[in-house]
Amino acid sequence: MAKLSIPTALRAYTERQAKVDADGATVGAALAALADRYPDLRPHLFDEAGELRGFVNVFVGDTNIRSLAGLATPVTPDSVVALVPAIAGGLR
Amino acid sequence: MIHVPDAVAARFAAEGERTYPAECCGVLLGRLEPGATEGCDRRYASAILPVDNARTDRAGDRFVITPEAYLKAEAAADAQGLELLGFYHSHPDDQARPSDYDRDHAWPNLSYIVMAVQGQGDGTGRTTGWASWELAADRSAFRPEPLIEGGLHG
Ligand SMILES: [Zn+2]
Repeated sequence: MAKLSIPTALRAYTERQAKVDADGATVGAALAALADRYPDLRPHLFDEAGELRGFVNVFVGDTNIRSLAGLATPVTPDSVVALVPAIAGGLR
Repeated sequence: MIHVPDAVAARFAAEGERTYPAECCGVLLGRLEPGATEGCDRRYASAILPVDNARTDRAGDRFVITPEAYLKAEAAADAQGLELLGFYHSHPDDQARPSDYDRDHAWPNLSYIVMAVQGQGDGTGRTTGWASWELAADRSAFRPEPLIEGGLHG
């Protein structure tokens, strides 16, 4: 299990919950449990192939899972897993 | 819909001028009243949080808010009992409307304020206009967000 932190942009799909507990021994399992519970959230997190979208970053504590073991990164009930949207734009 | 007090608009307008000819970017904080249907959230901006534009390689026409800066902004919002309502950024010598690149990188359920900053011929820029935009949940459109006009209590 882990505590998931939901960004504002995605709280519309989690009944406005900012923190959601999700079962799973890895980041991937916890995110899958989250998407099962809130199906409208799934397309914002995963593409058709089930891969995490490039515009979504996932942090365990202060560390991006890209620097850890990705979706296989283990979590414990004390882990705080933050979903973080990539924010970008520009004139051209 | 969003309410942007004049004092808040003056702050992001000043940021656009301070960073000219580079794009500025930052976070809007305030209070959110979620709506029952898409597009009817009511947002009341009360503060901004300027963020360093991480696209130092081409800050003239791009901006990036790093995940670390985003997490700091959400923590700051929590600490102040506010919500992260959206983002602002500037278009140096261009219009206060989002580009295709802006739309491709936007998220629904947030306000995106875009401001136009025009060069004055002496190296400085002046913010000449701004508008707020909202992405449809299915990403089909990036629409102007209506402004809630007038002064508010509290
Ligand atoms: Zn832009």
